[in-house]
Amino acid sequence: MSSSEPKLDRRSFFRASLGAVGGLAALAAALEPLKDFDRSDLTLDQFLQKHYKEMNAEDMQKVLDRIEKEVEKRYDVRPEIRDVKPRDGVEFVYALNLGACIGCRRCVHACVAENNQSRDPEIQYIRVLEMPRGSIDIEEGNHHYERPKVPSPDHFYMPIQCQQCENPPCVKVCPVEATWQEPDGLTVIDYDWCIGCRYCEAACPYWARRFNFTEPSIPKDDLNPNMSYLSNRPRKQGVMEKCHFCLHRTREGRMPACLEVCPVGARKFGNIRDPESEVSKILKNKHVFVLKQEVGTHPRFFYYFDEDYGPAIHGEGR
Amino acid sequence: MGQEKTSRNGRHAAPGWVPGWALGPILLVLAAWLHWGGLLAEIPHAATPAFDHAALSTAPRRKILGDPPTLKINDFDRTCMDCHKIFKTPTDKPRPLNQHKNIHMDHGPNVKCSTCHDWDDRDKLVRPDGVSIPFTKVVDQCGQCHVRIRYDWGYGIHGRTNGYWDPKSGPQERRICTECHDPHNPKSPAMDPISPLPGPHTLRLTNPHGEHDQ
Repeated sequence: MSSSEPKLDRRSFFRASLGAVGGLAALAAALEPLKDFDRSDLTLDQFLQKHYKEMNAEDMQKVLDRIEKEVEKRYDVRPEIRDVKPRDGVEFVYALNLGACIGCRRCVHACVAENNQSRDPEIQYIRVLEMPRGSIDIEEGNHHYERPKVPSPDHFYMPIQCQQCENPPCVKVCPVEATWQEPDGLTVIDYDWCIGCRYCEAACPYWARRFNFTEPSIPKDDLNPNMSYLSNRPRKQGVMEKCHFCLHRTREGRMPACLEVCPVGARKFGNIRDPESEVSKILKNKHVFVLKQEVGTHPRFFYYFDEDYGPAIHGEGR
Repeated sequence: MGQEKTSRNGRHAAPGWVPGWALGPILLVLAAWLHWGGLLAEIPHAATPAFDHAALSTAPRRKILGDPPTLKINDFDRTCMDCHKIFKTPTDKPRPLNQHKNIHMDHGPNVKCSTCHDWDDRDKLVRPDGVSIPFTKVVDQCGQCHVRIRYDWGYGIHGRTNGYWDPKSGPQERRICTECHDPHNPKSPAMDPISPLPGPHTLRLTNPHGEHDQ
């Protein structure tokens, strides 16, 4: 019996202690980020914050006050942050005239300026594809065209951003319900709830979602102080973000930033439930199509070609 | 008993098998590598290239004319008729212009000035039916021929609407034809080709030339 008991000899003692020291050191290394806990922005309030849908007005006000302080501390700018709720009887729809778009990327950069995306590393919600005329083959599309002047007569341009699907695959895959669809059709993200697993990014067939791989950086002067909780408040490292049709503007009745900057008026936005709205007229009168119809996402973003405008814009034909 | 010992020894002897006590140090080295020299040290990325932010102006590209249209000459606002009442234009037929040389006329079959301009009152436009209309109502003038686009414009399909999508919440800013198009030369190109702003230099859409990659 005594012979089967483990014997603490010199060798096994060194083995065990080396293992223990190594293990403890590895544990210490793993816990090392907690050293910065005091310096990080994570407060107990934020840690114990409820889900967006479970917060009442009072809870939300506390959260907004906290975010306001955080932003002021970080950027030296006092933001005007609020939680804009969807309106009754409103469903947002976007329409884009591909015959008019000249691929100037004004929309891309107006969006970045409006929505406080990171400038370094760069995050953009809108991608503009340059494709050869006569086909719509997105695989042939090129994001990186660099020309002294656009449009190129041999190409057309297709801006792609979040399509605000009626059947959004990104929402279904989120394991923590940090992203959901609002009654006015906008799919939103709670940046405080997102765990950064990037499932939604993988699920999106339009490549519309962006991930903050590093701490986003925005020059203080470039910060847009007009913010809302679900849209353009500053994000942190490790959370997803995407286009939300500028909901802090559009829910107050204004046009999105990408539309207002478009030099050719290719972008149209409005309430599809209003039969007199611009987008309702377009859907009634133009041959619209959606991107990747076959995947069944039912986008709220419609593209159309206006055959009468295209040649006029590009100075050819007629 | 003896068999157990043999098998244990056998496993000890197997190549590539890591003894339990070495796991700690291995993890430690791994953590140190991740922390100081390895994957987590720096994620390569590129910042937005600088560009002129004036390009993001939402102002219309062209100025529109008032009623009557005025031009600053020696700090005085002059209307068209201030000159045209003195200098009579002799005939109304296509000819090289002595004045207004900045006008490049290329508007399809419309080669005569009087197709659109009122010959008796130069502060006005004239419709094909002979009715004088002010420059501010240029939409009606263009719409005489470009009927479908005029209809689309009326619905808000053609042309940009700034301000509010919901007219009940605030004012809408509509652009009229000549705020974007040159009426004398609308065809070639309606919008001057413009320089594109920088393309994506994001993590997953890095520049194909690798210029901005670290």
